[in-house]
Amino acid sequence: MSWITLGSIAGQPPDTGGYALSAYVILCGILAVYSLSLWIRIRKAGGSEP
Amino acid sequence: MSLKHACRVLWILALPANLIAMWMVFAYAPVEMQMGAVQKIFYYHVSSAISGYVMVFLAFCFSIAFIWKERRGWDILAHAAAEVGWIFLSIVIITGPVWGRAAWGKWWVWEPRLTTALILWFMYTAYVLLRSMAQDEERQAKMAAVLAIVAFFDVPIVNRAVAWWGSTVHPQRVGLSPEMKVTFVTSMGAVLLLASALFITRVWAGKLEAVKRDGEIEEKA
Repeated sequence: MSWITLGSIAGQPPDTGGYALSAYVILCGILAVYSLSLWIRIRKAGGSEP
Repeated sequence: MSLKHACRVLWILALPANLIAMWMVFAYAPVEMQMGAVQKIFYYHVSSAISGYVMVFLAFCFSIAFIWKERRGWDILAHAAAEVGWIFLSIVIITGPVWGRAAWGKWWVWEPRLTTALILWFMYTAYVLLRSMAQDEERQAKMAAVLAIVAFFDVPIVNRAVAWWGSTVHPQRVGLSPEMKVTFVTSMGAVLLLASALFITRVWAGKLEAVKRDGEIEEKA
């Protein structure tokens, strides 16, 4: 498959919601942990929280 | 405007923008009929990839400035951009296989775009590891700057990989319905705002740590 169209077509879509939700949970987790680590670094270096 | 205030403004904009974008991804954008809801990964997967490329481009520019001018400020900016870029590239490398598993039945395929994207991620992982090693700080900064400059040349290769060598999983062009387009543009803006907020916060942390380190060196002397 070299060309994919993401536009909607008629029919019943496959049930892949669990994969989408897992990806967004991982994504939010990575961003939350990184943001928290920056906040800790700022505190340790003597700055106040953003 | 101080770094602290810029940081605050960017976070105030980035957080609601991402909440709105997430709502649009899950509640507003229609479900794609061939792949199902997993296609919704597209909005943040592609936005994270573009934000990652913007950050590594900044790291490339700041690294050239650092090698040329040899001022520590440029190194702090380059380090921050490379680290934030690596975070977004990591998101792309993790969310891609989740999408691939549901849509194509495979976690990973050794095709041009995935392979070149993985090489890019490894190069920036090497950058982050190099910066975390305790050694001669000035030498480490110069080595990291060279690595950031060399690694950036993989970005246009990743971008053109499908056009040059074809792909079994990535399309050359993507057709989106109007609701999908609006959701994608909103997600793109929200993720770029978040990347900017993280970058400025990381620069602030880097500057504070540099000031603290200089103070400790002066105390020892």
